[in-house]
Amino acid sequence: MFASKRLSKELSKLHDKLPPGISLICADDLKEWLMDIRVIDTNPLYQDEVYRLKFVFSQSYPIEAPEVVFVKDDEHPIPWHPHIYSNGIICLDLLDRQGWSPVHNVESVCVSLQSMLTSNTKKERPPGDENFVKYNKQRPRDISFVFHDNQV
Amino acid sequence: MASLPPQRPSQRRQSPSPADSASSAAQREQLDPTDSVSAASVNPQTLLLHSPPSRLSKSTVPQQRASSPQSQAAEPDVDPRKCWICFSDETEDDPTSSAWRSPCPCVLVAHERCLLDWIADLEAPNSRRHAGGPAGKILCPQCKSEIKMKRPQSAVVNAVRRLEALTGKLLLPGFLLVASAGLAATLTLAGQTAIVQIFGIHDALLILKPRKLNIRDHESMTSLLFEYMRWNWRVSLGVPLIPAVLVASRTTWADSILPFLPLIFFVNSGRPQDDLLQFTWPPSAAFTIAALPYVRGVYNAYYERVWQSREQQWLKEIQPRAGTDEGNAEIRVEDEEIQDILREEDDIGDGGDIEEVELEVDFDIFAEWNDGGPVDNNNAIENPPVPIARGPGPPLNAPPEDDGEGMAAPINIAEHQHIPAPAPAPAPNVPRQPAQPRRQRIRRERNINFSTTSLADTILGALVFPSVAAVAGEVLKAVLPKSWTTVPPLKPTGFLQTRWGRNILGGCLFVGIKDAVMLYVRWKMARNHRMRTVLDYTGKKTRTG
Repeated sequence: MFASKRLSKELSKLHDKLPPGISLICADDLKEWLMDIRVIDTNPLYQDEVYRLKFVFSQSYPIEAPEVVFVKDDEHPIPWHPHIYSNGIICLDLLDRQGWSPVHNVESVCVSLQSMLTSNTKKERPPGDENFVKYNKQRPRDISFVFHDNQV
Repeated sequence: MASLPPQRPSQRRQSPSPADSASSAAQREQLDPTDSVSAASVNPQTLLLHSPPSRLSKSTVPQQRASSPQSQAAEPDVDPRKCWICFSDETEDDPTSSAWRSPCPCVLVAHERCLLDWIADLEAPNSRRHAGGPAGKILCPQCKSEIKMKRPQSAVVNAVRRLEALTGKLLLPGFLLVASAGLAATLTLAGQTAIVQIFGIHDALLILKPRKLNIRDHESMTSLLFEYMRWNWRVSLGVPLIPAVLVASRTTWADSILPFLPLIFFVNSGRPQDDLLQFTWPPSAAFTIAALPYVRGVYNAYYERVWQSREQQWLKEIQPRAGTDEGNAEIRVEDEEIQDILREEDDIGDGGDIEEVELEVDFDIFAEWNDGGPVDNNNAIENPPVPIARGPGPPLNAPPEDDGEGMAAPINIAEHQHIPAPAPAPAPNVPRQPAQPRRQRIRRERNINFSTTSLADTILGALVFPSVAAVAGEVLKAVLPKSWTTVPPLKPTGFLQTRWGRNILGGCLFVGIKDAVMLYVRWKMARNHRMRTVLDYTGKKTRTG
């Protein structure tokens, strides 16, 4: 109830107006949304590519952070970034328990990810990506990332 | 973190929409904090404090709506307040909505209930902290100023929280303590095993047996411990040090302190035969062990001077030669052939020497100690036994008795055996020394590298060494003439009559023989290396393709 009320408010705002480069693809219910983002400047790493984000909200949203991952399909690759694993899991403190606060919302998360991509210059995956992708069975919210890089 | 969301149009000085204006104005007039508890709060006993105290307010209560119209005039109309947590604004408030709070200087305002939900999430108990508790200050996500709360204090809850915080802090030190206690226990066990292996079970028990304490009834644990350590610190500290020293003696790390370690434990131990200045024959166990580091030093110096360069040369010879152009190579090959031949002669001589030296020296030792007329026979009577071997009393305790008669000989021997040891590098009489000092085997470990296998090799080798020495001692016992190794009716008269004496000598011999064998192998490999040829294929050649 708490979550759905807030989400419906966010949704109506998203329908109303969206920042450039961000679009709402699917929000059929108040549990799982799809958003598309693209980088609007000329970063060559992300030129002409659109990335699809999946938001999964728990009942305690916005007290609890949503689960946000990149989704890979034919038109939507996983962007190269040292904090984005090749299975789409994102290592970003604001999506973690410690970094999240209800002041964030779907739009702000999209904007943050967008700017995280924009400022990146390295075409690489996080260290240990292969093993992580192979063996990780945890959901993103249960993974305890160590946030060591304060520049993102 | 990239950005905070754009600020919602909520402002602190906002004025309510017309419909609700009276209501919110009324709220602001409510100053009674006891009334402001929101029934809907998760924790009804907790309430948030506004930073401006005058804004303590109560949830909408219909009858208060019109109570203060003047305050409405004081606030210009702006957007309705909007909760930064649930995103609903004032216009959506209904009687069940909780009070509005503005806990920090910035523009964020929220329902008290939303804030409390959020804070409860931040403070949620976890497996470590059953009582939960503030995980530090609660900060406004926007302006990072502290959000202050007033809540009922419970002495028990606070005490448990403090306790849990304390145990959390003690976790690492506690773990380190347990780990180091485990290490100490392991080292002690290894040290005890070493003592048992070198001295035999009977003497080992005597060595390890703690001294009797004068225990008075009223004494506390602490003073008991103190008393125990006072009388038994040598054993308590020394035994765990044994494996550590064994490992250290395989490396060069402790070279500078090894010779002095025994002094700490034996000098002034109050046991007469431990007096290092008193040379007796056979030497006391304490003296022998204290002398080992010096023996080791001499042997290492000898090895370094005499053998190391050759060993390295031999090693170099079996390396593939690289980086020479053809002409050069030919010349060098010729050159080397000559040198090889020369060297070979040398080497053969040396190689022979190695073994000869070993054998000779070994015989020397035995001769000197047991066979060499004066030594054995003279000692047979006048020299105090090594007390450990039989004494029922505390180990190493029997005072050495000298009947003075044969003193001269034993002292000479002692000097011969031990005194040269401290000398830095006895180059001239090197060939005479090796047999005795042969116990140490660090040369090859000289260049310590930290690969795990070599580390494991060093440590395991050191820990196994007492057992090897014990085996070597047994072999000595079996090999040597019975008369050398059996204790005469009265008391031990020779070094080899005691088990520890044979074991220590056995250990020394083992090191020496091992080194000799290794050197022989190197030399042989180098020699064989030069004689290698590649055989032509003698069968019928087939052509493929």
